[in-house]
Amino acid sequence: MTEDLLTFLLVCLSTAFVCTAIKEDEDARLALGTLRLLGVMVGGILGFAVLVQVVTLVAAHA
Amino acid sequence: MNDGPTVATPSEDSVPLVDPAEALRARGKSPELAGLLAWLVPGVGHLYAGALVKGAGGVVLVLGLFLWGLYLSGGEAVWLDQERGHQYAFLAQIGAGAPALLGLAYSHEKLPGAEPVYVHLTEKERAAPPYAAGHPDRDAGLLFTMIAGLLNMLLVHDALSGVPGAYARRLEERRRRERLDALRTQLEAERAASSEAGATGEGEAS
Repeated sequence: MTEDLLTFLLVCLSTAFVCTAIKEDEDARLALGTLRLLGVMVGGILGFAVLVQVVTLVAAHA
Repeated sequence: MNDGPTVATPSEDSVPLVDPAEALRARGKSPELAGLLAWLVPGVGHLYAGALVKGAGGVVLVLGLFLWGLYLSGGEAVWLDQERGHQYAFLAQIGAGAPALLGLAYSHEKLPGAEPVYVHLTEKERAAPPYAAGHPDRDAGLLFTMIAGLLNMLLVHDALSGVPGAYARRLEERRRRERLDALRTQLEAERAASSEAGATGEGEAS
């Protein structure tokens, strides 16, 4: 479980870093942009997962 | 006449907009070599070009992701053999350069002194569907090496372009400012012309 979580974070962080690195050159903006994109990715994926769980739960009890 | 705040920012204007590849050449470094190094080992091209934070990030994150994928798959994520792997995945993995080639050599028993795990499997284990018979993380390892390879292709392109960073955005901002300035000048000229024409008309009428 911990390994899966770390792997998930590593994939998201690598993607966020590369996608930000190609359009920023100042270190501070690169770090902030990476963190912002990481937040969007992690939040979006987790949000979508929660949504799927809720819809599945509602559908199972309907 | 509009005397409102101007769009231009002195700090942006003071930065000379030189093509990033040309700027890299002016520093005695080759964008082509940077691209080659970036492909060979993720992040190294950027380190060569002087982008230390990007380079370090590339080494730690992209190379780290590729190596993590290799670890998860027991070193057998890179294959050109359809029976054991997915040869089309190699098209993505090869973006990671030397680590992908080393992984390929390892999987195909071409790496001196290293034997892949499957060499020690029984005939029955070998005959089983590769991903079901192997450890369950093989799929994940395959996927992560592919993602790392694809991400590194972006870094290679970035290094080949001379590590442009925010160059495109600055260029666009400067062009927008120039367009605005041109429009403002044109508007002022039209206003001046119309007020002049109005003054002439009043003079003739009186």
